[in-house]
Amino acid sequence: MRSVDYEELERAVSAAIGRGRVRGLYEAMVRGLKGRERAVAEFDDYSSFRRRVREIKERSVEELEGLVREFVRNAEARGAKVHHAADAEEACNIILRIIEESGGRTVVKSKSLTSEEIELNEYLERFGIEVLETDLGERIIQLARERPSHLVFPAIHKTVEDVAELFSAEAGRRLEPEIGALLNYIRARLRRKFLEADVGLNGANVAIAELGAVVLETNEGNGRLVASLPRVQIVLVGIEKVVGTVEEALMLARSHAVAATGQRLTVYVSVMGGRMPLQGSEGRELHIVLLDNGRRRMRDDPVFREALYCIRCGACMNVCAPYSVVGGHVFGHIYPGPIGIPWTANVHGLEKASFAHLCISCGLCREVCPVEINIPMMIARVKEIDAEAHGFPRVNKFMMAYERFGALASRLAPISNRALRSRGLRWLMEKLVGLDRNAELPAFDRKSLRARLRSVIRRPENPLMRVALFPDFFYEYVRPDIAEGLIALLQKAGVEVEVPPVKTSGYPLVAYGDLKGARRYAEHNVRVLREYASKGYLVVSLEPTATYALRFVYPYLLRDEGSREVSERTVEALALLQDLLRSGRISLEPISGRYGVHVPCHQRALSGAVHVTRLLRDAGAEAEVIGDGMCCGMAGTFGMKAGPIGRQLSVAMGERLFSMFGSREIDAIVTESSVCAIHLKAGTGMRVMHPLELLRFEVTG
Amino acid sequence: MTPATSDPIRTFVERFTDQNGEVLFARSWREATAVIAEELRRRGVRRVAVASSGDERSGGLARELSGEFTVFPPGASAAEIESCDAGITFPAAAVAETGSVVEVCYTESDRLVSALPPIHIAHLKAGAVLRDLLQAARLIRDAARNRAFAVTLISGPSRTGDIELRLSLGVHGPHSTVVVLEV
Repeated sequence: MRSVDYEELERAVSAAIGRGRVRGLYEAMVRGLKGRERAVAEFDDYSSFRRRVREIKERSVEELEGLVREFVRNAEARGAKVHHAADAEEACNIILRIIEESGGRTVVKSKSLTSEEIELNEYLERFGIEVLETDLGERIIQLARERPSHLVFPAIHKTVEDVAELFSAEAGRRLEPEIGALLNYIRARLRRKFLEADVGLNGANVAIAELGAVVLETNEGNGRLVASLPRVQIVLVGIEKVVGTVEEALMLARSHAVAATGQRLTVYVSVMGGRMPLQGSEGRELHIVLLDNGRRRMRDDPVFREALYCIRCGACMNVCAPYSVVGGHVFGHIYPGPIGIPWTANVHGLEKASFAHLCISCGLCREVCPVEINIPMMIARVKEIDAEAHGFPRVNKFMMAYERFGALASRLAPISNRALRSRGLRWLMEKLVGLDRNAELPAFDRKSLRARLRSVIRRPENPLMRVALFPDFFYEYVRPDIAEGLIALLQKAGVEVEVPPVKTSGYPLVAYGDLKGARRYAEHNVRVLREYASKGYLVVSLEPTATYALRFVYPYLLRDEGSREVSERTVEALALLQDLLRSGRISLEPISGRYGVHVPCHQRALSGAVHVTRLLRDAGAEAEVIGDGMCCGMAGTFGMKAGPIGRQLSVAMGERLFSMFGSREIDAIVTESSVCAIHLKAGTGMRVMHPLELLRFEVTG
Repeated sequence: MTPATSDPIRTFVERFTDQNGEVLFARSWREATAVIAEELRRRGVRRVAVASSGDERSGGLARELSGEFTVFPPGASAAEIESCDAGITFPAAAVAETGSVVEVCYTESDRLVSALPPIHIAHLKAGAVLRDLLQAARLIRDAARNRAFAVTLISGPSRTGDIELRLSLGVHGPHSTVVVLEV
């Protein structure tokens, strides 16, 4: 993004933070997440269901051209007229022509994101066509002449009073701000329109090749009326929606409802083929417009192909912390939220996707996605393409050089620590490199882990097992004592420990879109660790983000055997301790107290903090996980950057979580992530501890 | 997908009810017609549309009700169905896993009976309850042998949370969806 665009985005974010959270948005998001959790819990094995759903989309996109041909053939056999639109303009043109040929002037519409993608309403209105959105939320937004702020609840930011005002203006009489009355009004008003309209237009959630039929899901039932009453029906559908079989379509419909709202199924799921007769409605037509608009290009791209797997459930925006603060109008163009970034970049152009810089790379969108789409890596790719065109934003560059800075600061400690506490230097650093002057920085240890190794490493004879420890930045430079303690414990328990010459994880480079740089880190670390892995060492990692990188990011970046091998051998430090405990090699010393556990985002893809919680409880302490499932807002070094797209947004993201912790009677917050700890400490003023500072082990076996 | 581990009929009733649907029970077709008539009476219904059932049920029910209500038999126009307080349909099946009834239609008239009136009553035989969603695939494929068809899975009354996230029923479709289950 050009620097002027970045500044514009900064202003938009700053204004959004100033306004406070979008009304109702957070509640809608949390409701979505909780509902999803409930619906997922009803499955015997949701993760295998999810894998099957992903396989369906992988296969369908792979066989796209064949499936589209099959769909067209079968739909035409049912009397449908199928149109192919290469881009938005062509699609709008085709639809306008169909409407004009029908002699109609009024179109009733059921919610269709694809029609929003091509900005169809505006186009048709320019030609004097009356377009009526019939989904309640969409209708409210249409009357307000706004854009949806949430995928599932487009008018979530409107109060009942706002709605009463909009409907009153339309009705030409005063309507009470009471939901029942407003619903009665809109039902009666749109009912007349449904019965009179010449043309109905709807999207499709899925298209089924073997039947030449489409699937339409609506909760309100407006979709059924749009598809049945008007003489002419137009279905606008993106080509990526075509699947082979009925079973596949049903799996997608199920998956969609669970992830979108936590329903078992959307209230009305219609599978429709051809046009059925209706008394008094002669010459009924069905037109299906198949839209490309960049989809075939995305399909040919190894990274963005995955975006075509999206089933438009909106779950990714429900879990996105920056989106929760700034809302879909800032965190979106037409497609909002995380998945909106690759979609926008591909169908509306890179310059419209500048909100990519609001992504903090917490990775939670991938965890919640019902199709396991690697949204974070697609976003990183959008940032990379942007940087290739316009360079990296200045504030990101310093953060990307964190490793060199850390090594230097550690070597110069304690002088560097004192210097970093100097207001003058911090002011200067903010001006020069964009490091927020108020951001809490860790105090570096003068003796890095590597400098301590000679006195720490004791190789036991006939070791029980062998471990290669991956310390990452924090346990190398800031708290090498914690790593040292872990090494000593493991050695006493008969484990051989090595600290191989690895670098840090390099994940911050992914977060800022320097994928080439990140790949260099990955290559180095994999080369070093693979040697250990092949000799039977387990790779043990302390920092959740590093574990996440080793397990999931490196194999994605490198796509080779070595990274997969290392990934398979990588475990969390606490998981290893849990194993040793279970096998009786070590035991826990009793502790007391009440602790609130914070789950770092990247750990949600791993153990989700089950080990720390269990260990604390086994040691006799009280422990509960606290949070709403979203990111605390620190997001690695994001929260250290000066400005709205940095610490300001970071603090705004954290506020809810801070008050959740603040309202509990706990002795300390416990988390394994070093950066989350910094943020939580600054935000709550409470004590934040690493579990290994708290837990004491004895060697027994 | 989600196995209805226990009795599928019970799971269907639990889940359909949980989704704001209502279930009434009858032990025979005769009793079912009485339950339907009583339900119409109780709700103050005067005009009622009946969809086709593919067997003698719709004709029989239309005759049975016509003494007391204004009845529109299968094939009514959109305006006629729109004028009704209730619509009665005969779903081909139900799905326990998702708490849904499955309607198979070959005319818009049949589809509109469960789409336009504010009250929807569906007569369902317990034997038609399928355990899981994928079992509905065969039914859909059978329906698709017709040139034009619509299979609709209905999992409760029409709902929206679009104003302040408050659950409201009946915004476009029925506000009440009642299954009369013949066990």
